[in-house]
Amino acid sequence: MNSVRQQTLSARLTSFFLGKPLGRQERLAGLAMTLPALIFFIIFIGIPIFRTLLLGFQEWNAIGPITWAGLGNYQRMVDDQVFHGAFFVTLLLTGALTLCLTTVPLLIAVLFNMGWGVFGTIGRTMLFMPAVISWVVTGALWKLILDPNLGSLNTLLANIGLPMLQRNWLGDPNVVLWAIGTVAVWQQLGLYVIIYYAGLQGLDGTLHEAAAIDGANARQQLFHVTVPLLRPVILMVVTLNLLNGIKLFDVIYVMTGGGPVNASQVLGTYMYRVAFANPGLPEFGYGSALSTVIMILCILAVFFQIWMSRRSNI
Amino acid sequence: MNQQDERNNLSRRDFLRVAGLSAGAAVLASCVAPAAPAAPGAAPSAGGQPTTVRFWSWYTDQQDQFPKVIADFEALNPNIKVDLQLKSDVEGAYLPALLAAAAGEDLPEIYAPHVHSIEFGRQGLAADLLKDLGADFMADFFPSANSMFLLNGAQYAVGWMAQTMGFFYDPDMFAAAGVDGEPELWDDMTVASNQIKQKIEGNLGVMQAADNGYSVNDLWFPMITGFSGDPDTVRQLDDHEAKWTDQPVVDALTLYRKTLDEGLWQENQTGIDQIACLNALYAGKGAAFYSGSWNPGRIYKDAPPDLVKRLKVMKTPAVTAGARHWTGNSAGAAFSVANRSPNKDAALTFMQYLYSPDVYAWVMSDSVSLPATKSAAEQVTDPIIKTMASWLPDGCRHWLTGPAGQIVADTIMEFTAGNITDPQVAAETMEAGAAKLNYGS
Repeated sequence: MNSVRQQTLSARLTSFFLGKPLGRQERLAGLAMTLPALIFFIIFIGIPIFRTLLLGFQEWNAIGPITWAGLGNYQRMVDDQVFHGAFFVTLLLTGALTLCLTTVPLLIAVLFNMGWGVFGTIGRTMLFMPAVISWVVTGALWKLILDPNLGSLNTLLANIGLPMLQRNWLGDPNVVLWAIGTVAVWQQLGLYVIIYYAGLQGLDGTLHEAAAIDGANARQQLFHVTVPLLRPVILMVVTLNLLNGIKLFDVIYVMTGGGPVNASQVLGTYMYRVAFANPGLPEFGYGSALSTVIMILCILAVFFQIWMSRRSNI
Repeated sequence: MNQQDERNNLSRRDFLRVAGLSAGAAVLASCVAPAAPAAPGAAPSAGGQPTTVRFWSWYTDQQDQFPKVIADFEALNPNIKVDLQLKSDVEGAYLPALLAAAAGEDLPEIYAPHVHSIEFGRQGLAADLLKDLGADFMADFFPSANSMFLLNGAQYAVGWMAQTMGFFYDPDMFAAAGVDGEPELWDDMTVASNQIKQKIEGNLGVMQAADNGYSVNDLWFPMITGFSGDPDTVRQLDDHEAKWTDQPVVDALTLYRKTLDEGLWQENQTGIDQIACLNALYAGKGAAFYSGSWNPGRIYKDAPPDLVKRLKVMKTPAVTAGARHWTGNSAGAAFSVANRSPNKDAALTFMQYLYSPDVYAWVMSDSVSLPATKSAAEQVTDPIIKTMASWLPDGCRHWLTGPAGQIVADTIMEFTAGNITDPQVAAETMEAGAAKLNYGS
């Protein structure tokens, strides 16, 4: 019975990964070839994840003994106002950026796909350029631009007669998320335009021609031909945006450090503050619990992608 | 398949054997403890290997001076090698590395402890330098430069660069706005700042870096001492021997609120960090900047030469007429010695050399830094550093090392941003957070 079960499981695993059943020797060869990577994964990813999960139930300040905390760290989250704010801001930024960076690049890519010759090439290059700059450099650059007193944005607004639009971009809790969101869109937009553009280039043009012959206008072609055909690409873009949003850290760390008054604190920056930038000793237990929450959100995003893929038969 | 092919091709079975053996060997190799290297700080081996003293800090102020000091020391002590590691990114690189070393019980022999001196001392990781280097070694330090590293009579670090806080200012701008002399009280400073903003169009007046609570603490903690008259008050708050709702704290918050409400500081202060304040000062957009004695070296490198020539520094104002001008001074820069290192003796030898009067005075003077010892302070020639050194007897704590650091920093930011406006409420918020924390033994 067990043997049958093993064979079934083995067959199911092979068919899941390779799509065809393999012989015993082939399976062993496959295992041998993947073993170095598996060992690497276990040592550098698996064990740290397990250790983080475990630390989430413990308290440790790096120099004292590790003590068992049970669910204490998770209970602390219930009362922790900074965590509540960070959780909300993480979801808000993730949702807003996913929406924005899924729809706007698609429209721009469709425009580029209409032609434009050399101007299209220049436009795509210019849009893509910010994506090759690291988040840290992006953050440092925009921090200078958004300086409320000496920054070029407020200076520009004053010079063109719009001083009423000047803001304390990174120092006003009501404005800071807009500023960070705009910078994130500026940085990522080009990348997703290129991904969509590549997808559009691979579409069969005859479908659009057929739709045009049937009397579909440009809007109808976009929503009833282009978007359905691009569904795998859109799904990938949504997943990437969800994961990037949940993990958002570097640009906020550089631009505001989570401030002012925790207004731009996300789970990543809060976890870093608790675990590594605490003014006292680090709280690795609570930091690990926060990391676990981030990991759970990422897993949910991946499940969402898998669910959508299956639902769409992709 | 011919014979040649059979010889050159690996059969599947052979491949599996080789792969299995390789993987097994890799696992075994990773499990076997590495051959023990010569203990890094052990006495010189028979082969003549010198003892290594690992020396970690983030004080790039002395990045040009440390190599020369180390070379001179090594020439005098050929059996000791000093391995310097400077990491300028304190939060991103230095502290994680230091804590990892502490967690692994492998602290570098000499290290800048940041805010961890007392905790490391409690855990037996930091040496009691009073015991190991003697009272004579300690006698030359300003008490305020060492007080935050002292616990139950044990000295777990000694000050490297002292800090005093004050206003770096452009005297021409003050004169142009009709401000005579240096403001004595916080109220006078508020009047001066508003006068500058009115008379010089677009000027930000007097600035503070208020993008984070720790910088704001630099400003309002000396106000607490100003009202208590006791430089130990902030230490008592840090250890929760005093309450954050005590009168000096409420008075200090009330005074700070007044400076906020009456327009002492620049617009948009919560979005402006130290670098932005310095840039505004260099660009002639700000008249004065409240900050610490770690700035002159940086200002001399970055500011326009004509501003460098006329730049001055003035005392932190007093809270009431005739009161002392308490100034933040905690020797944020300090060095500790790893207590359990086998190379501790070599580390202590290097510490004695590093702090020997001539060497230390030269390093401080050459790097335009504020010394933590009286003898070195007497040898300072830079006019701004000399002025700030003269305030060291009025030094008081301007940061916390205990667990309440974050709650106090967060609350003072809420207060600065105007989310909390009542000083009593701010004090109660701090106390409510601080009372829940564990202060150790």
